[in-house]
Formats: sequence, C-alpha cells, structure tokens
Amino acid sequence: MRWAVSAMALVVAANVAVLVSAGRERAAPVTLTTIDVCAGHMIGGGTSDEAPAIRLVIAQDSLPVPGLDAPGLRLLGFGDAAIAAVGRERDSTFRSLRPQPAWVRLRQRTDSLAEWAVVEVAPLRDQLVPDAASIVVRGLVGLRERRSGPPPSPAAAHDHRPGGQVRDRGIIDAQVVELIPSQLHLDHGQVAVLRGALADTRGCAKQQQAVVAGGAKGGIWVESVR
Amino acid sequence: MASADQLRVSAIVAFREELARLEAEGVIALDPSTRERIRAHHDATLLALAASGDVDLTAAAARLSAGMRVATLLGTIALSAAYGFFVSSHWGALALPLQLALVTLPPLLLVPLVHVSAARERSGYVAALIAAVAVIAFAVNLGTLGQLFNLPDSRGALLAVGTFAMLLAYGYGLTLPLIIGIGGVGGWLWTLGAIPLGLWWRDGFSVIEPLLLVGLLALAVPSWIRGPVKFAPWWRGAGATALVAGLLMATTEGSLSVFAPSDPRAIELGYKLLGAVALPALVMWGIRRDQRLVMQIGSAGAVLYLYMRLVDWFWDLVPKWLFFLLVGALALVILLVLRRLRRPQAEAR
Repeated sequence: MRWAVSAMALVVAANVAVLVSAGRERAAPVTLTTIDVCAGHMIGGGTSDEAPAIRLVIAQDSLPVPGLDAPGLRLLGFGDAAIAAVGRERDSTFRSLRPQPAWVRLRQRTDSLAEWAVVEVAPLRDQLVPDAASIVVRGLVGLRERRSGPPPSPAAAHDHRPGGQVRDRGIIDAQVVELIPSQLHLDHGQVAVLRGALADTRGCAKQQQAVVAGGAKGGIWVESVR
Repeated sequence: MASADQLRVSAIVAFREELARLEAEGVIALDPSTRERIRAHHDATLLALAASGDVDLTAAAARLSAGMRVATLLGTIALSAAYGFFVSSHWGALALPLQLALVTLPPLLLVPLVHVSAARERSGYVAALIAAVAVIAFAVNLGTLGQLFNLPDSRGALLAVGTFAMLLAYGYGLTLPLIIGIGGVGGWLWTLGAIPLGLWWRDGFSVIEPLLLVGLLALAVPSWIRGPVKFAPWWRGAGATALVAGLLMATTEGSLSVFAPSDPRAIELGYKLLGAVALPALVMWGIRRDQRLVMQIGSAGAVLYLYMRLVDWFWDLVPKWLFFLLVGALALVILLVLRRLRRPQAEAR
C-alpha cells in the first residue's frame, strides 16, 4: 500500500506546487497591458477539441530581433563563429545552431492585423523593465536564414535550365523562433464574451479588448476581457 | 520477455517430455518411487508458480497470455483516448475548478484501483492496464495545468511522470508502467545535458552524449537496484537501445555532439572509431552475460553501423550492382563469423 500512497502523494505534491505558485503570482500582478483581440487570434472554445486561447502571432517582418548586436548575441550564449555569420549571405559552411533561451518583449502593432512585434530580447527577465505597453514572455532566439529575394514566379519554378530559377538571397539573422508560451489560455467566461463579441467576423475585421497581466516571476495570463 | 518463473515452468515441461522420450526409447528406466518423487516435487513447484499468477503451464495458456498482452495494450490506448477526448470535448464549457477536478482526480482515483486489481487479479494484466492509464492521466494532468496557467513546458514533468510510473511498476511488479517510467526518467536525465550548454531543456534531446550516458546507466541499473527479476531485461534493453541509437546518430551527424562548435567531421570520425569498438563490445558483453536482448540489439546496431559505413565508402565509388554484391558478401561473412562464435558455445553446453 505504501507504493500506492507514495504515488498519490506525488500527484498531490505536483498539483499543489503548480497551483500555489500560480495562485501567488495571480494575486499580485506586476503589469497590466491592454491588448486587442481579433477572431483570427483565437483558437478553441465552443465545440472545438482545442483549449480556448489567444495566439501570440509575431509579424513575419518583425522576427529578426532589432538592435541585437554581437555582444548581445554573446550574452545569449552564441559562439564567435555563429556571431560572425550574422548579416551575411548564407553559404555552404553555415550550420543551423540550436536556439538559445531568452526573454522577449513584445508590443502589439496598431495596424489592422494587430500582430505582435519583437521589441527587444535579453538573457534575464530583470533586464527588461516592465511597462504597460508591452508584454514579456520567454522565447527562443536562433540564427536563421531570412530570404530577402522576391518569391519565385510560377514560370521560374518550371524553368529547369541551369540558372533558370530566381536565386534567393538568404541572409543570416537572429530571430525569435519560438515564444513560450505561444498562446494565452482563456477561461470559459472570457471565451464566451470574446466569441460573442467577435461572432460572424473573420481575421481582424473587428477587435475586442483584453487585459493581459504579468506576474513577478514571469507568469502571464489574461486577467479580463472587455 | 519470459520471466524467471516462466523459464522454470518451461524447463520442467521440457524435462518431462524428454524423460518420457528417453524411457520410450529404452535409454533410461527410472524406478517408480524416484519417478513419483520427481513428479510430486515438480507438481508442487508448478502449483506454487501458478499461484503467483504470472506463468503459463501449457502452450495453449501461453497463446492466451499473448492475446491478453495485446488486449492490455489496446485497452490502455483506448481508455486513454476515451479520457483525452472526453476532457477535450467538455473543456471549453467548464469553469476552472471543474477543469482542475477533471484532470487531477483521475490519476488519484486510478492508483487505488491499481492496488485493488493487483491484489484480486494475480496475472497483473488488469493492474498493468489501469496503471498505464493512470500514468497517462497524470501526464495529461501536468500538461493541462501548464496550459491553464500559461506555464513554460518543463523537463520536471518528465521526471514526475517517470517517477509516478516507476512507483506503480516497482510497487506492483508491472512491466508496462516500467517501460513508461524508463522513458520518463531517462528522458529527464537526457535533457540535463542542456543545462551546461545554456540551451532550452527540449534542445537537450538534440545532444547525443547525455543519451550515451543514460544508456550506460540503464545497463547498470539491474545490478544495483533490487526489483522483480523480469524488469532486468527491460532496463538492459533500453540501455542498449540508447547506446546503439546514440552512436549511430553521432557517426552521421557530428553537429549533435556537445562538441559541435568544433569540427563536426572530426567528431563524426571519432564516433565512427568509438562505434567500431563499442558495438562489438556490446555484443560480446551480451553473449558472455547470456543477455539475449542486449546481444540482439547490439548485433542489429553493429550490422546497421557496417552498412552505413559501406554506404559512406562505396556508394559513390562503385556501380550500384557491385555495391549490393558487396553487401550480400558481407552478410555471408557475418553469418560465417556468427557460426564460428556459436560453435564453441554449443560445444561448451
């Protein structure tokens, strides 16, 4: 019986640890940021198999981290060889490296898509001073190839002659490759309000406001919807 | 894999059949009292082993057991899927306390059920099924808590689920939870390699050296952790699989090494040399210790290693027909070597 009791104690301990830590953070939020939510940002809810949540969509042109120079990359953990490749055209010697964990400040754009833009990254959360106009989440920063050439035309795609295809210029950039978490959970009351207000809309035709809270230890959650 | 009890049953059954054959051929004639003493002793042994519930006394019972194992696995998958789909189909309509109850209570309720079924149904199939569902329910529990509170994924969940599975496996002698437990705890140990490299924990899975260390550790576990005898082959099998998989990956992709920033070609060459020594050593270790699974996994790894090297060296150099002729010739050489290795063993017996 002691094995069964030990197993049950483990389940209780794991759940209590998560609930107590999350409860403490949520009792005293450090930042409150008002964001716009569109139907296109939401997943799950209703009859969907997915849990309801707001996706944090980073604008494609915002993926390269602005102002991240060689010392900044070194602080994140990248080696000298990797840093030397940044900003250069990709060649055969470039090998994709494992991404490095970082804290990412995101600011929502005010355009019609209301996507998120990467403002800055830092290895430690304390280095990103909290403000009411942005949110801070964990993320992974990697060195990736950014294609800057025009997309290949259908004609070029069928041209099999040597040199017939448009050659993309692939520039190596430091990019945010993943946000952790990549979406913010909505409780059943919040999702009901948002789904009701954004019913019969697609993409970002209509926007609704929500307040995202940040905790003292890096927690983030949807505090309320309006 | 046959347990020690099952091997004993098989030996008794084989002894009886061979004794009857020898008597029929007139090679031996035991006096009735000796034959009766042996029969009585074997009957008592078989009864005692049958009472443990983990053995098949006849070939028909063995076939039924195989069916029960398949049913256990299918039942585990089906029950886990039923639970998962039930949770997801009602999730959006539930308040937080109900959501928490829906994911926290199942593992807590299933553990006492494991205890009761292990006591009432001695074969352990039902207990193994419930235990495996409990482990999956606990994994869903932790994953859902992370989703509810927007927590970053963590290697801690692997450790918690692996430990939970191990507690049920060792507490009730259940193999299916043991396999999940080895995967969970082994996966957790593997990702620890990400810490000194400053990587996110998930990227630890792309570093080979910790996997090799986990493999060595798993091979050593049966000699320093006491538990059911039937667990040892699973530990050694998992260890051998980790070692073989790690070595084969490192020989072809040097960037998976801890030392990736240095020359990947040199790393691959180093692992090719290591593989040439370590894989035959693993096979020999399995043969000397009479550990069939280790020997089989090591042999499969060594053959794969050889074929990969053949592709490296000859694929671009020789015509395709010659390449496959070489592979066929190599297979014949391996057969001859294994036959030579087998002969002294057969003579020793």
